[in-house]
Amino acid sequence: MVDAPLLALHGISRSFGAGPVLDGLSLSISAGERRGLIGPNGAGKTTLINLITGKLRPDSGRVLYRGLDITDLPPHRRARLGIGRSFQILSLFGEASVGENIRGALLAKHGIGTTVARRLSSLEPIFAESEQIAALAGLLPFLGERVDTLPYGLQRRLDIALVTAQEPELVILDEPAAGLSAAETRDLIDLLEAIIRGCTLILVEHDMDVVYALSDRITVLDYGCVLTEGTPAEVNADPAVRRVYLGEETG
Amino acid sequence: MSHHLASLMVAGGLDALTYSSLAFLIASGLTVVFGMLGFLNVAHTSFYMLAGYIGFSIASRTGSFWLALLLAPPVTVALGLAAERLLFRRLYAAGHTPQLLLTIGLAYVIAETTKMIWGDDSLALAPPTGLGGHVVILGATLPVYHLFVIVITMALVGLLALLIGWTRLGMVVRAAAIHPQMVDALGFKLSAVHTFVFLVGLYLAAVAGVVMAPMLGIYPGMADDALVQSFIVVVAGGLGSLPGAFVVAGLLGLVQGFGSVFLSDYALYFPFVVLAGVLLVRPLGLFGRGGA
Amino acid sequence: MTIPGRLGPALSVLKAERGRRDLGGALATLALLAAVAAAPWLVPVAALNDLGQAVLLGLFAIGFNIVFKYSGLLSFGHAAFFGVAAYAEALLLRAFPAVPVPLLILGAAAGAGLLGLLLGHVCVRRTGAYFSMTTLAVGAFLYTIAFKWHAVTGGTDGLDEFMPAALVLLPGWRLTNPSITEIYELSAAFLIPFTLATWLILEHTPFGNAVQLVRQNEERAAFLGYDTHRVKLTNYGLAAFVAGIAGALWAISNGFVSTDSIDLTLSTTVIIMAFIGGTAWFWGPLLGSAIYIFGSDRLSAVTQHWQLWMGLAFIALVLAFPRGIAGLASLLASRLVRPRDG
Repeated sequence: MVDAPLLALHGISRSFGAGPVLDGLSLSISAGERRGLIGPNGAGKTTLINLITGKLRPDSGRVLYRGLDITDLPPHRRARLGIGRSFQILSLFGEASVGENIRGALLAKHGIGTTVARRLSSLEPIFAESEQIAALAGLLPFLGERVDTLPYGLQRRLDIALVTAQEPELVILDEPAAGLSAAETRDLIDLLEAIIRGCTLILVEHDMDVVYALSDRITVLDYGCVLTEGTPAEVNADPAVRRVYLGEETG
Repeated sequence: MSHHLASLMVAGGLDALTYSSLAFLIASGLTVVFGMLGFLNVAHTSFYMLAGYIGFSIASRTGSFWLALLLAPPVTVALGLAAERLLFRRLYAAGHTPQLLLTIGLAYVIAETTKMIWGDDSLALAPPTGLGGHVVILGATLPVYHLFVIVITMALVGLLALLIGWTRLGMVVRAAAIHPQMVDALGFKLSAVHTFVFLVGLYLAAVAGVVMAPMLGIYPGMADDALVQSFIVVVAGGLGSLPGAFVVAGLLGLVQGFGSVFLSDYALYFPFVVLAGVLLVRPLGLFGRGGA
Repeated sequence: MTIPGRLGPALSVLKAERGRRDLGGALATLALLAAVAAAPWLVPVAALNDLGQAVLLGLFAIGFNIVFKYSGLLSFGHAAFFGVAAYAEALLLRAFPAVPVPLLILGAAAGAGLLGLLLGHVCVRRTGAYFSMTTLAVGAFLYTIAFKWHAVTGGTDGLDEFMPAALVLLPGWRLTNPSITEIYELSAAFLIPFTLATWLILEHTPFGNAVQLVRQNEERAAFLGYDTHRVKLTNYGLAAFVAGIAGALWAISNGFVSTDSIDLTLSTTVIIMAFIGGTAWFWGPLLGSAIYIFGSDRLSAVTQHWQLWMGLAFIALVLAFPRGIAGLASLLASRLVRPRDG
């Protein structure tokens, strides 16, 4: 008896204009797994994330989460089921402060995101919780700063902090290290290690150090299909992977 | 009986074409400027109204409709150029809210100025001699003037199509719509191209303003009426799409032309029915692409 | 990982900062509402009629600004809700003269609110200029109904003679031939609690917070679990309801309803009022409508073409102070409070 996967994709196809970006792709991820998703540009990684989180609908195929068909659910319903994501291109509430950003995520998680029966300032536990999350992400000194005035690296951390505040069961990180320096990336790995403890992870990342540090299995995509799948060591040794993705010159 | 039906069809068809022609002349400039610059000019139909009034003054001074048709549109375009230079340019990059506010203010000012000069009452302009009569086709009595409106619209649209499709200037305009960054490479200034397109759009609306006068008169509310209709054309046609505007103007004309023959009581509702119908089938408009 | 103490230092700084800002806003709000309430004692009766109009149009402009300020959507057809409620109020008064007027006002406004929820399904799916154009078309459609449906709306003649000889405020409390002052007090009695409640909802509850998050970044809000369409729709319905209260009171205070209360001119006038006062402050539009009404009153004494000057002044305002009078005032206030920051 094998555990039912947390997330299962069956025969997903999706095209944009000219040709298919995903072509009958199937993928299954068990609870607690940490899956890295790699592949050359245009392999369909971001499209895949958008299909899992509900930004896009597939042309054909089904998306199952905990055995539940979520193919046609809008993003907010999937978020409420426990799917949280970060963004390759930063997507924050720029006019609000760091604290207000985190508070927004917390209010939604606690199911009081749109109530009129509470005063915002009376929600002490939410303030305390947002402070803890900010501290974890190293953002405590910036709690009152307007987000669009923050340096890029801190905005990246806030992106992760918002996912943390959601307490998702399935965390999907879309290039969390994009645009970060080597030092910032090392700090980020530490942060991610801390927050994904106990979660299931899907990680799309170009920086292979981050992928190797955080994933226990890696799926390689190429032209909208699964090229191969295995442990980091297996994938690293796979000649096909080295050819299409890592590039022979790096070997 | 079938003769009667045939004559109704002919009459309806002519009405449809006349209405579509005017709707397209008025709305095309609005939608193209919106598509290219993202600039929504609420005062666009105020210039259309202004042209009607200026045409009226020229015609009543000189006694010549033709002189009015010849002179009123360039005068209107010159006023439009002044507005573009003095006001609009400052806000091309400012986002749509200040643009809407500014052009709402301008529409207010134009409406009030026309009332100050020409009064609150509806003014009538006689069709030029020779175009005032009727012809009978398939048993339908048709105003010659309507045929004239259709011909002049066809001529203008044809000329414009030639200009855009076949001349170097047209090529630059097309480039400005699709690849703005290419315009520099072709040796033109993008802002000059934008001004040109804006003025051509105003010219078409101004012609409509003069041509319209012998049919419906000139009245203070005509800018608002035309604005509602033009917005319907832009929304239903889709994101600044000229073909979209063409098709929707045609649809509006059809419904209006035949609808007024058979269901004249409800004619005022037809444009909304067209809008709702189009948006039901294509929420982003007929030729709408992505975005919101 | 847990921070000792209930609040860490950074957060208390943040809260104090916010608190000071909130206090300033709350004081200005109280002063404005106190002025509205005390007007009958402060203003000569001759000016009270104008003030009554200003207050009602100001309430309407606040309704408009609920969509603009909080959802970032510029409605070009908000007179639809004002007008529908005005017609509804006239018809309700005619049909149920014995029912307490507050109930009828709430009924008419609720009708406008429901209409907002219905039409919002189409409108709030669009953003930017498309939202403006769509709301204009919807507004024009409702205007056309008012214009054409003579049997119900009186067409171009409008509706009159719907005011009962005595307005029933509560069972046993009637106003016979209400005076201008009494009508004004009725308007203020609705304006103050309803705007205050709306202000609290939008500025101080999670719902208002959600509306503002959705305006800033709809996509991220959705991925955090917010039903963004519903948030925008609810806010639109709230804005329609507030405009509806203004419209219903308008019918009562004028004793007459015509297509003037639902036409495009009114929809643009309310935009102008809101921006004159400043849309960044919840109460700015109320200020703007007072400036508009009294300004046009002064202007029309001097020139017949006051709208021309109003239009020119508005253009100058848009170019010079895009944030309106309230924006200018808050700028000046911040200069005064912190002159060193220059």
